[in-house]
Amino acid sequence: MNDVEISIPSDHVFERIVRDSALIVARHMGFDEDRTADLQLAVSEAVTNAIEHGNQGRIDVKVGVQFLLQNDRLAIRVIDHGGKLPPLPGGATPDIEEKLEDDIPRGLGLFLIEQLVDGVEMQAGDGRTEFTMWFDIKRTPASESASLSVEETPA
Amino acid sequence: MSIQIEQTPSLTIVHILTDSVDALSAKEIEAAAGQLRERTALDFSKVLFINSAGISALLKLVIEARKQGKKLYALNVTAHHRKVFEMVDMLRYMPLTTLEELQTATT
Repeated sequence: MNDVEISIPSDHVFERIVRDSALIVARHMGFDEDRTADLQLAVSEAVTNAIEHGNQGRIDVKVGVQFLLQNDRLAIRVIDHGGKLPPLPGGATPDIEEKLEDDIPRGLGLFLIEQLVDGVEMQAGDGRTEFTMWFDIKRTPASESASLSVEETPA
Repeated sequence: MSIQIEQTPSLTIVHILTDSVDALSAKEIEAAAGQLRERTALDFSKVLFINSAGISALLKLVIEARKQGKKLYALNVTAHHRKVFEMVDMLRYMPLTTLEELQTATT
């Protein structure tokens, strides 16, 4: 298994380490420039979500990131200790007008992940959340929506 | 310092100096809200990465510009950032343009 594992404190400073690692992995996998940027952004969003919502910004609680290099796809698993499933927007485009009216500019991260990756899988339970997303090596057309799988195990 | 403000006779240009518009640089970018003029252009030529925390900072500028009845534009946006801006419908509120087009529009 050619897997890469990183563990970072829950601070945005260290999210950049994961992003830089994603760049190296993408180049190793032969991703083109656009796909590499997609990977970096998706990883950044998942790690940011784990820091802010999963671990509640507690710097002493680690976020784990695994790059799972497989023949037909690259999977990235982000692990936090929130134990809750993040609410996926289900592909619905965020209502920017509503955000402007209500002065609420946040809440775009999971939407972006859905747009950028080929699939998402989530598991939560026992005070731990695993958020896995993957990029197919032979990518399907970008117009196809990402497949979703959600599983919640009892605490 | 993440931004540099350039004032021309007809335009404010906010040069974003950081290569990463994210949670760490968001506050300094939001601070540009105090520098908005009738027309303000954000220059992304040095920006290599933007995530949703960075987009949120940009949205705050859009919100402030709307409140003040001012217009915001984006300069030198990469193809990937354009794709992301299109995904979240940002370009409706911060259209892409060039410095030449902005300067031509004032003459």
